[in-house]
This record gives sequence, structure tokens and C-alpha cells, in this order.
Amino acid sequence: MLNDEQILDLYWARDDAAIERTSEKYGGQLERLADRMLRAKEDAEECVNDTYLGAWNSIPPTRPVHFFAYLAKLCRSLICNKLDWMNAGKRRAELLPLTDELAACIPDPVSDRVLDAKELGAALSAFLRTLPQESRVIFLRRYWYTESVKEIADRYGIGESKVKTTLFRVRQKLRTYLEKEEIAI
Amino acid sequence: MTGKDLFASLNYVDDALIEEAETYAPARILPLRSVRRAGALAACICVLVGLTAAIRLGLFGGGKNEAMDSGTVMYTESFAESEAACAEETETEEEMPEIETGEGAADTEKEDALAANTTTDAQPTDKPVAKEDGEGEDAAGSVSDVKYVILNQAFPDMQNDGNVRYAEPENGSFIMDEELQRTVGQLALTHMSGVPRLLVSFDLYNNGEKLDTDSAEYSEEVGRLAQIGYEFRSLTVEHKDKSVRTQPCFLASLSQLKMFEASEAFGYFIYFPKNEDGTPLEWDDTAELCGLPTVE
Repeated sequence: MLNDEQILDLYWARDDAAIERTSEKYGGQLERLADRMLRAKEDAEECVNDTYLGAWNSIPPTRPVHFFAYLAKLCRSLICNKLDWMNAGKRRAELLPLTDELAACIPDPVSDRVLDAKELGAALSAFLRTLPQESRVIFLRRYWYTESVKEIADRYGIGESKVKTTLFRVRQKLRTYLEKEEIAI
Repeated sequence: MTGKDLFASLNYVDDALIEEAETYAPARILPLRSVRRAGALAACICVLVGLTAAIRLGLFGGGKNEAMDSGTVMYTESFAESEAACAEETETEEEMPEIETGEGAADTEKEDALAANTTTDAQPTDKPVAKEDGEGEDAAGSVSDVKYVILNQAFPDMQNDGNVRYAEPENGSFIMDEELQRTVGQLALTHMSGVPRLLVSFDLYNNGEKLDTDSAEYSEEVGRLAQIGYEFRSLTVEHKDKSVRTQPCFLASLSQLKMFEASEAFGYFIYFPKNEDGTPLEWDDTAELCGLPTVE
């Protein structure tokens, strides 16, 4: 199996094998991500294939440092678009718990400082870096990879109650952080 | 602002954080249930290994008939001790020390052996072969002037003079003397590639009675062993009065010794052959082959 740099070289050389090698290395992880969020195999496959196409179209000129994260972001973005399209503005039932949980982090919407998604993402990155590593990865496994509490507990060999407690505390800290930074969307 | 907006904005979190969440592996990755299962499994393995070692060392039963299974090595406590000693020697890269030959040392060894597993009703035997002081050599197969002070575990029997007496090997079994055991143990631990075979000889017993090397049974048995791969030659043994006799000796690899193919009809006492003054015999490629069928 090729390493990331070798796969990226294939993209830069416009070699079709780049897609195959990408699928071979990261296809499983991307499909699981899409499956979890879309709950429909065909839709998930379509999103993963669109991810490969997006990578093919954007590399070059882009040469991502974190290749998997780059692919996963492409995939997640496509999934979110798909969900929006599928639900025609309604929130998808499967994601309701996640968005409701995150809603608890949102401070008073009346704020002088309104950020777009990209700026908020940067603020979230800064916030996440202040957390202990374990709390950070648990938060991201839950709200970025949309894994269930049980899946996270099994993945890291910890109890579900610990996962729930960690998530609760991180949400509390995030709310405090957003309030302190006077950030609203 | 809604939770959905916040959820969507997570897509702009740094790539490094996304990758970290994908690859993060905490130290305690195993679920508690798995740890418990692994612990239980490890405990079972320890018990099995311990039982196996105890059985092989003859710690259960201790009786003569129970200790020596047909066709197997009768490992002695001294063998286990010598292996441990050899391990230490390997670490320190020191030469293999010789066993003390004084009576005091012998008595100490005797007490240890007896304390470990004494069969108080063991009958003294008139066998073996404790050697007096002699010149040591460092060649493999001729370790030193080791005195046979550590006795067979299953049949501890020592005289007050410090000499060791081995029990007669039962039919279908074999005993390696302490010196040979030490060498085999050391070679097994150090994987000395330069010493693939050892020069040894054996006394042959039938129902506890030693057979003469000139006997027909002894010759037939040498022939059988020669046919299955042991290379025998008649080496010359020198008496103290400078007279000589010949003795069938053979070369054996470690595996050939450890899994010595004992006949069910005989018991074997295997040792490094020596002259009467304690100096080891040397292999002689020109010595007369023995054990091979005579060409008419």
C-alpha cells in the first residue's frame, strides 16, 4: 500500500491509479463516515465517489499535508450538502441529537460578532486545542465523525458514562468559550 | 445560530485535529472485559506451564516408577539449576564455572536436593561414577573435571564421601549425568552454532543391571543406534596404570540427546567419556567405527 506522499504524487502526475490507491487506503473509512451520516448505502457510495472526484479535481494545485483529513472533509461536506438536499431544509432525524446537543453550546445569539462557518471553524480549532487530547478526540469522534457514544466507548476502551461526561463538560467549556469570545453565527 | 450551523462549521476545523481524532490510540485501548479475559487466559497459561514443569521435574509423586516415563529424559533439579546458572553465565559472558568438588559442597548440594524432594526410602545403588579431580578443558563436550555432586532428583542418594550415586535408569528411559546436563543446558541457551554435536558415551542397563560393553546386547544396541543416525567409534580409554581399553562413544546433536531414542528394552546412563584420570576423551575420526554391520 502506498503512503500518502506517493498517492499525492500520482494525483500530481495525473495518473488514474491515484483514485484506485486512494480507495484502497481510505475507502473503508470514508464509506463508514458516509454510512453513519446518510444511513443509505447507495447515497454513501455516491458521496465517496464524489469525494474521489473532488480530490482529483483539486489535487493539484492543492497538496494537502493531512491527506485523510482532506478527503474526509471533502466527504463530510458532500454529505452535508446531500443531507440538505434530501431533507429540503429539514434536519435529518439521525442528526437531530447531534445538532441539539451542539445547540446547547450556543450562547446568546444577540452578539456584535457574527462569524461565518469558516471563521467559526477556526475558532473551534483554537478552542479544541485548549482541551486535553482525550477530550478533544472524543468530541470530534462524536460531532465530526458522528459516532455514537457506544462506538466511542468501544473504540477507546472506556465506559459510556465517561464518554457522556466528557462530552457534557466539553460542551459546557465550548459555551463558555464562545461567550467569552462573544462569538455568534 | 443553531446547532446545525455549529455542526456544519465543524467541517472547517483544522485538518491536523481531524487526523488526530482518526489516529488517536490511547494506552488503555483494551476494554476492561478484554483485559479481564486476557488476564484469565494468561493465568491459565501460567498454571499449565507450572504444572508441566512440575511434572517434568518429577515434583508430583516422587516415586521411581512415576518419575521416569518410558523413553523420556529424566530431568533433575540440578538440570534446572544448571540452566539457570548457565543463563546467568550467558549474561555476564563468563566462562562456565566448575562445580565445587569438596565434601562440603557436595553435602550442601545433597542437602538441597534432599530438601527439594527426598524419597527417604530410596535404595542406595552401587552405580555411578563420581570422578576425582582432573584437568578441565574448555572444549565443548569436555567441559571440565566436574564431580558428579548433584544427584538425580527422583532418587537422591549420596554417600558421606560426597560422591554421587545415580539410580539405574529404567528400561525405556535415559539419564544424562550432571555435567552433560549443564552442557546441554548451556548450549540450548547460548545457541552455540560451533558445537553441533557432543561426544558422549553411555552405560547400558537392563532391568537395573548394567551390561558390559563387550556384551552382545550392548553391541546390538550400538548397532541399532548407529542405524538411526548416531555416529559411533571405539575410542581408547586410558587407565591410571597407562593400560588402555576401547569404549563405544558417539557424537550426538542437542536434539539427538534431548530426544534420545531409547529402546524400551534398556535404560541408558549418558555421560562425557573420560580417561580414568578425569581427562576427557577426544574424538578420533580415524578410530574404528562400531555398530555398523560387518561386510562379509
